[in-house]
Amino acid sequence: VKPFIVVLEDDHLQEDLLKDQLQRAFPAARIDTLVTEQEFRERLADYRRDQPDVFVMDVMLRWAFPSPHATAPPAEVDSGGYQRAGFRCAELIFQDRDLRHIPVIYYTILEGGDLEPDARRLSGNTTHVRKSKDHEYLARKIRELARSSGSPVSH
Amino acid sequence: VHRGATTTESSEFGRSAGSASWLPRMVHEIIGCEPGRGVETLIRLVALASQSSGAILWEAAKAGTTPRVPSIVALWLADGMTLADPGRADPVTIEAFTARTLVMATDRTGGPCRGPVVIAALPVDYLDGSPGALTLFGDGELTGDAFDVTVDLLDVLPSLCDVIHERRYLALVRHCNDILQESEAEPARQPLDSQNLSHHLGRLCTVIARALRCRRVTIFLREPGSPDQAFPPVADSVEGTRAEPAARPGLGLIGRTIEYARPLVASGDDLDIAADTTASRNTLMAAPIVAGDQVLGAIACSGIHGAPFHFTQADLSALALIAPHVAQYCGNWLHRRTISAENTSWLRLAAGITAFNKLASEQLARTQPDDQRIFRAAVQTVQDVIPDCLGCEVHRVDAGGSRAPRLNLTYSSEATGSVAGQALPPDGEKPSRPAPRPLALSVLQSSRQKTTTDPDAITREGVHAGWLTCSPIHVGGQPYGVLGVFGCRATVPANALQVCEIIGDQLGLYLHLRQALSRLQETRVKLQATSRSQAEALEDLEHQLGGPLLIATQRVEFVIQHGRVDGRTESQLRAARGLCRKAMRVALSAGVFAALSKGVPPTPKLESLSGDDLVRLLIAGADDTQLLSNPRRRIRFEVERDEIRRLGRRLIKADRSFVEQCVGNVLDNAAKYSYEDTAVEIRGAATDDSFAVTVTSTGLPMSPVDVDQCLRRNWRGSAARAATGEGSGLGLWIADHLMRSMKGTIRVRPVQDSTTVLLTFPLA
Repeated sequence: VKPFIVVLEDDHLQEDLLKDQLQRAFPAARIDTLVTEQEFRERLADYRRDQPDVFVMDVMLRWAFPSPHATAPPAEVDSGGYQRAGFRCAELIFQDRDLRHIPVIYYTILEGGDLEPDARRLSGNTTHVRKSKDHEYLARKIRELARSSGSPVSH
Repeated sequence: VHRGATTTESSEFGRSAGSASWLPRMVHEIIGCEPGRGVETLIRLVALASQSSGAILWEAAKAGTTPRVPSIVALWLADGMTLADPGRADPVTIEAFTARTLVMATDRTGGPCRGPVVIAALPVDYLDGSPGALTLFGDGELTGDAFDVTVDLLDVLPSLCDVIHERRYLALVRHCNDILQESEAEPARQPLDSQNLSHHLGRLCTVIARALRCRRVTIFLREPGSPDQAFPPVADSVEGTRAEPAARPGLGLIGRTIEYARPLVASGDDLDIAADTTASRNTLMAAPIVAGDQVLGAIACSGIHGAPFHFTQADLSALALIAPHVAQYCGNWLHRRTISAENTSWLRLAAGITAFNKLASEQLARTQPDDQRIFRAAVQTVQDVIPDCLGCEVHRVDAGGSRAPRLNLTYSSEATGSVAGQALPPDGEKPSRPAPRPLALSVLQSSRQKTTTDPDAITREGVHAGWLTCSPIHVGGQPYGVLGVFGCRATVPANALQVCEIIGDQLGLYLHLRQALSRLQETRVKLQATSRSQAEALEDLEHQLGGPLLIATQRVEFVIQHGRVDGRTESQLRAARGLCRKAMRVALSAGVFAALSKGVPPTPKLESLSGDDLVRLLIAGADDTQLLSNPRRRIRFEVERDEIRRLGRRLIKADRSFVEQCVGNVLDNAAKYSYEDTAVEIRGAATDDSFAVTVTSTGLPMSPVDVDQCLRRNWRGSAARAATGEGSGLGLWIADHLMRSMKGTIRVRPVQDSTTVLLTFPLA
């Protein structure tokens, strides 16, 4: 079984690099990359059927790319803004009976202390990893969390 | 043996004692008898001494009348004898009274008595000069010895009468005084209610009635501050009978006594006693109860049993002597009652304020205090403390955007009692009166309590009351409203003004605290919003600065690890350069943000830039933005070089780094908010004295409101916020400050989903 990693990152420059690094760390892994909160919500149903081993998500996320056909975001998105969109996405996972067991890694440039007040509200299996040029730490965390959740991880 | 005389007295008659033996006995018996029976005793002894079976002492009925007629002072008749018409003198007596000489009866066949008839009448001269007479009754003629004794006794009779009267009235006054003093000692233990007052004054009435032999004694007292002129009865010597009607000034003898403030006795046709329902001719007298220049009421005596069958001037004098004692007692009682009422009201006020403060502190602790409950508590306290209060209103200041503050009736108690005459709006209901009370407006302007008892002025205020007072609701110089209170009495109750002022101050304090807390809450919310905004700005800065630097580092790392230079290397290095430039812009923005937050405007280092300089700068900016833009969104950044070069030989005066910053911020926005597969066009437009760089993109539309507000700090367009959610709202704000520091401008012109941003620079 190969690890199935879902990456939620709206910065395409970082997204490309991250995907490359993760693919190098887990050559057999399946990596899904999502770039907006809206896309994440749309894909949640898919992930209930085809469950990932771990979610890696940025905290500051845009709702959607501009489009003349864009629909209005839900009220909680409108009021909550993009600063903690990653937590909102994680909350959806933890409230989902089928997905709540899947670990979430907040992968962000923000310090852990900045996130703590908001992260404390979340009850799920979460870890904070600060973005850096060293992707080894992130890979190690993915490995640990995937194992603890019961998914064997092959290199 | 004369009919009616005792055995002992008969034996004395038999001895035909002289006046020398009668005088000591007379004095002894008079002193030993009850003061009220002194004259009767005197007359009885005169009759016995003259060996008569009865005697009547007369005096002139009314001084100053012509001709004078006698009226009875006292009589004594032997057992079984009665007078058919006790008020009318017989001819013998009238003759003696008029002629001032002894008249012996010649016709003894009839007279006013059954049995013995008049045998003689003798003139009596009272010490005050008024004439009188003594009538003797008997079966036979007056003997010479009896005549001598009688004449001797008549010499001292006026003096003895005076002594007896003085003794009698002194005893009455002393007795009354004792009762009043005794009752005055009670207030410390007894409640100061009207029933208690009636009880003590009732005892007094009984004593007076007994002393003056009247059937009924009534004390009338006016309630101070009473709206009408009525003097209701408060005490009566006769318990359990129908209460007397209230006396009214000028009406009847009691009314005239009150109006003229002097004692009066009904003594003839000149007095209209028809209005005195209980009175009959010559059987009514009254004395005013006067304290200072104020008539508190009157003591009225009506009906009389026994001789002299009418009230004499001496009786009236006695009553007039008692009246000042009653006046002092009533004055003291009213004063004590006023003090007691004041003490009670202060206690109630203290309790009311304690409850009010508790309620206020509860309400102020809430997010939305219930003002109506506060006003209700304040009004209730006023009504509890001032029993005369008919209505109480709270008027609130309504600035309403106008310069002159207006008043709105915010809370009003329900009108109570029939005197109010005008229904006030129920609790909390919007006032129905079109205009506020003139007095309340006057108080609002002057910040001083104002009161009126003028009936015309009160009518103009729209209330039916005896008094109206308006107190400011304010703290320091800050007006919050006016408290209006009115009552039915003709005068303002003793402590009403102070109570209203205190309650007004309490309301002012509450409203002041409420406003202060509300402002504090608003400030706290703003502070929280500012703190949150600053935290988000810092996080955004961290994100914007950290992200590019991290990627740039990784790309350079990749190049180094790759070990050779090729096309991909150049691409990576360009990206790294773009990321570093972006990071520099972010850093510069952070510096400008910090300076502007401290109120320090940015200082440009101006230099002259040519068209080629601008082209290079714009191309670099466009390249960087293109490179950092997501290629999957296919947004193209195009610089119209020829339009920029139209600047020709002219130069613009600008700070190069500021221009890079402004262009970069505008291009960043274009990249963020443009639709997929669109072009961002960078052009130039020259005028005589300026040159504008225009950036036109197609994407999220901006409304006219957005255009007005887009240069404000932390502003983010509604469409942008709803669609992407990202951005801190600082880019255009910083660009605006930078452009203005260079004497340039930034303008935004949206046309549907196309937006053009103009960066206009002055020519060098």
